[in-house]
Amino acid sequence: MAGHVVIDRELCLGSGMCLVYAPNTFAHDEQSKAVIVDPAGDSAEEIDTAVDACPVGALSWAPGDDTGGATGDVPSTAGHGSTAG
Amino acid sequence: MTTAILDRERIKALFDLRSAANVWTGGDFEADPYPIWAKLREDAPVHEGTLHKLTGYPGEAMFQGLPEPDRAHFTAFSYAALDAAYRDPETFASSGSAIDPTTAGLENSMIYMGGTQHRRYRGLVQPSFVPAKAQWWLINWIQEAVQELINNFVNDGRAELNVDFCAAIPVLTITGSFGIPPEEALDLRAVLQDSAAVIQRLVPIVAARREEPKDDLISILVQATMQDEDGVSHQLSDGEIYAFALLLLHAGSGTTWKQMGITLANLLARPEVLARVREDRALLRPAIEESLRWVPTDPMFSRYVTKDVEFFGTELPKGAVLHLNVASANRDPARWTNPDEFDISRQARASFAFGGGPHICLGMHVARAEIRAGVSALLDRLPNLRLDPDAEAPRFIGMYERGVTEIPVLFG
Ligand code: HEM
Ligand code: SF4
Repeated sequence: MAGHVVIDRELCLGSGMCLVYAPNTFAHDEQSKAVIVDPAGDSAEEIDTAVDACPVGALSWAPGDDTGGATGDVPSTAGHGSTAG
Repeated sequence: MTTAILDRERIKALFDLRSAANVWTGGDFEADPYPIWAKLREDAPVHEGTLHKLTGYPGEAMFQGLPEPDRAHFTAFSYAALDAAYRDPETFASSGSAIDPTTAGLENSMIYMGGTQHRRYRGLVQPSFVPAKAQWWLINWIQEAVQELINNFVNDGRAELNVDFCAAIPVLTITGSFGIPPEEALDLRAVLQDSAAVIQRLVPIVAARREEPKDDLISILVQATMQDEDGVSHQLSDGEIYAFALLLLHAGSGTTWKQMGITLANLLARPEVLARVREDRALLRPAIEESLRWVPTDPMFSRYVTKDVEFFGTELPKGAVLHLNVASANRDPARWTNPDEFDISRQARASFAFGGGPHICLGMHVARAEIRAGVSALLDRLPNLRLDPDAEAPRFIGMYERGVTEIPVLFG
């Protein structure tokens, strides 16, 4: 699973499904949008389970050179969270 | 606190799946539907007909998307078909007609909305229901109810957990979050089908919280604001708050009660699994998730087909109702190995017990917190908790609202 996870903030509805399956990777900001707190907080497999669990397809793997994990803004800059591209 | 005021006989009449209050969703269905659903799923991912007819239920049963006698009905059974329907809310809408939120009724609540209208309402309330808020629900409304209910039978050496314990917790949680004291909680449950009566009880509370907010859900709702795409700020009207409160009562009390009973029954039927969970409470989470997958209390939700579409080999005409058999999808061998086995150590994967798509359950983290708190407190306080060998073991019953008959236990 090469690459990293990106969050589409427009699509995210704050369900918290990703927090159930990868609780050390994802959190919510004050608008209840998902943000990434630790790109390697959970195993790549757990993060993949979270991607699969997102009910609205707001999480996706973007191709990249790292070996797995998630990237995104930390909560302090969450207002500009990453978007799928 | 005053849960002794929660009269046992009254709770039984209100909550027994087979009682008159519950028969309209097919509460008297007692067969095991899973072999039938497995066969239907193997035959085709989508069948013509309602789920209860396809299952062989002899009477009429009601749920979301029923009865709708003037529409064609189809039911989807496979994980892939449900996933596709949930993820395409434009083709598979939650309502057959437009929603008018200025009229305060359950039929105009968020669960029937679509598109940006739904996003806006959901965005207003989602912050109170995120995982990080579970602690707020637990401390304010869940934990005390759980402990008081156990106090009622802790010295008896026996109890019937389904009604004496599971049934009351979710009602107390939701009415508590509205600011309604426990002694009035059952009154509200009793008039649940009479929206006007429920609203009547809420009117003075909403007015009081607008005057002076407290640390409860209604206070959050009267203060919540949200900007729409045009930058216009929105607040919930009284009518919108009533509709949302009605939705919470309908969506959050019976469901959580029955799912907690299902979880307990699964564990009690497997003493070695129960022992492991008692030792290591971290296992409670997978045990709850597996119970949600294995027997979701609401096995079916419905969508309205908005255009002619060919769907998994079946032509669905515009205007038809597509019933989504969540329970069958949750045991689809294409997604889970040995799907009919209850196995708390299987690899975690999302099931459809809380639905999918934009309407996925708003209260799922509250529900999980309630079930976790409830089961954990029982394990803490009732040593050697076990099924009563001389009583009938719990059985799963119900068509559109599934749950267990009774959970007779001994302890000590
Ligand atoms: C284990 C217990 C529960 C189960 C199995 C459950 C299941 C579901 C399901 C399947 C849906 C989706 C309906 C659809 O797709 O049309 C849903 C929606 C909803 N549930 Fe739950 N639920 C539970 C507990 C709760 C609780 C405790 C609350 C509130 C405190 C709640 C509030 C809601 C609301 C408001 C919606 C509508 C969400 C929307 O339309 O965006 N539920 N629930
Ligand atoms: S699962 Fe999807 S919609 Fe839910 S919080 Fe995570 S990213 Fe947002």
